[in-house]
Amino acid sequence: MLLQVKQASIQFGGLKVIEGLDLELSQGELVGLIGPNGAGKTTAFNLISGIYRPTSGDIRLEGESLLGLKAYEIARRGVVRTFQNIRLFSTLSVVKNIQVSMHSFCSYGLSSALFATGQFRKAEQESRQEAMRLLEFFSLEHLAEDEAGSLPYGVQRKIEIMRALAGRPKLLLLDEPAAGLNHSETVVLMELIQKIRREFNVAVLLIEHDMKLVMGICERIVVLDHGTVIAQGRPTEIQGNKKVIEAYLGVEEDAI
Amino acid sequence: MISWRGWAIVVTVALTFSGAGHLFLNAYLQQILFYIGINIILAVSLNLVNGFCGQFSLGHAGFMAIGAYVSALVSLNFTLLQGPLAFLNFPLFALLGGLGGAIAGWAVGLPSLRLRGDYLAIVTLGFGEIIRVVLLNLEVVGGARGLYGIPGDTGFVACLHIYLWAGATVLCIWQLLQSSYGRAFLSVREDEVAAECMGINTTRTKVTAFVISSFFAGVAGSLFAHTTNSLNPASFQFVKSVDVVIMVVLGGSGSVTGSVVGAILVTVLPEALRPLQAWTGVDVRMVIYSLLLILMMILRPAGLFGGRELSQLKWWRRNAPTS
Repeated sequence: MLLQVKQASIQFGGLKVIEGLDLELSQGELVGLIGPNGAGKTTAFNLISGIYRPTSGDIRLEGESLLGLKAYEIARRGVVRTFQNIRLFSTLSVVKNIQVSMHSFCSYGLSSALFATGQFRKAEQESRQEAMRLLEFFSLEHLAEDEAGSLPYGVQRKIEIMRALAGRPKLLLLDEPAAGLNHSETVVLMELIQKIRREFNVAVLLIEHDMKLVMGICERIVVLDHGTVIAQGRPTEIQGNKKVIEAYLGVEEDAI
Repeated sequence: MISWRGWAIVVTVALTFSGAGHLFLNAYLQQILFYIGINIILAVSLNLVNGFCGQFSLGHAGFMAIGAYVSALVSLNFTLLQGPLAFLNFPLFALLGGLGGAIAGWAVGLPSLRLRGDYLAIVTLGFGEIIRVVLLNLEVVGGARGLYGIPGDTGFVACLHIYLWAGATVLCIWQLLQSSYGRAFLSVREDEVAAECMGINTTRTKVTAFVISSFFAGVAGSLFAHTTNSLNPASFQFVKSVDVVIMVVLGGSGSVTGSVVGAILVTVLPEALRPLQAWTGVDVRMVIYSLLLILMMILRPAGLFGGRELSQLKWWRRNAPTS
């Protein structure tokens, strides 16, 4: 089991945003996390990636607890995320954005950088090549030197995914990767996510409102409402699940 | 980019400056040349924290004071090297001053860099004032009288020493910015949460920048002590920190070139306006100086260079030899 979230809860003041969340992901799995607005999906991501600490419960990666670890330590262990509202390093070039994620693999020390030693130059060259390979995988190598913040929205979303992949994750958390994309862009993105999973051998947990995307590519879907899992299973099972329909559309009047 | 070439340029520039200064300038102008060099070190090092790391520090004068007093005390009480190696004394004092600054930077930075924005500015401001008040009340360092009779080089050697350090500061920080550490600094400035989620230890990154910055502030302090030959706490008031911030902002925070130009301007401008005082009979220097700053902030709010470097300017690209 790659990721295990056991009875995780978090509360802000008196507000319980997540209550007894159970979630499991195995190696290389592609799971969708859905639920109506305010169900606690992004909060769940913030718990897993270490931005928030759960008030109770446990989160484990490959059997080891992530509790008490800082966000950067969790990232270095292989859980890397993207953000719902894009958070790129907007005045840096695209390639530098990607290289930032590789900082934790940086093989040279400060003094090596100061004197531009051979080790420094070799490592810099390798890191740049690795970033360029990622860009080529996304067919965006022509944008390498562009300022990240100046690019179109859809491209910025892709750069966020690239930047996350550069951190060599075991688990990739995608927070609404298709938000703001049009239909054809979403189709391309669906294919891309599947390709990423194959090529990079990562498990993907994605939050998405675009049901077509979620149903189309996810092997398993977890439905969240009011901070707890109300259903999970294969896309076809979820589509017919009464609780899910109720959560999204409400209960019919004559049923009460 | 290539380091030995950078060092060669630094040595050449320092030699030319000092040589020309020694041959053509009178003592007054030489003094200004010294201060330009020292201010370049201060501005470029502060830019690392304020411009590249996005943290607002207002305590640079404090670190400078520590470097100055450490270096002055050591030089007054010990003779480090004698004979043919004696010329290395002042570089050694500068290193010690820098070390003092760096240690202070670490001690101040570690707890306070967890704070953001205004809070950090207040903490560093407070620190600078504490240092000054402590110096003012310590009998060992002469209290309000300060220290005097501090040994120092003069003329060519002093100038060379200052400009070698100024060059080293520019080169070190430039080189650092080209590295993975430099990208980490920038990522913290751009978006701290995102940086943290990409595996950057943001606190450590900020402390590193802060320590490096205060090291060079300490070096600048040492150079200052051995040029003026006397020190007193009044030289390191809050206004001194603000001056350095002005150099950084005027030149463009996030641009090494900008800081160098800013340091030159802020040092030269008040002096260049001096004849005006003789002519009008009133001291209008500060009025014009502040008017210029206000105009500058209205016309070019991002500073002269606005985050760009010399090598990124169109003019330079057109005229630079392709290498």
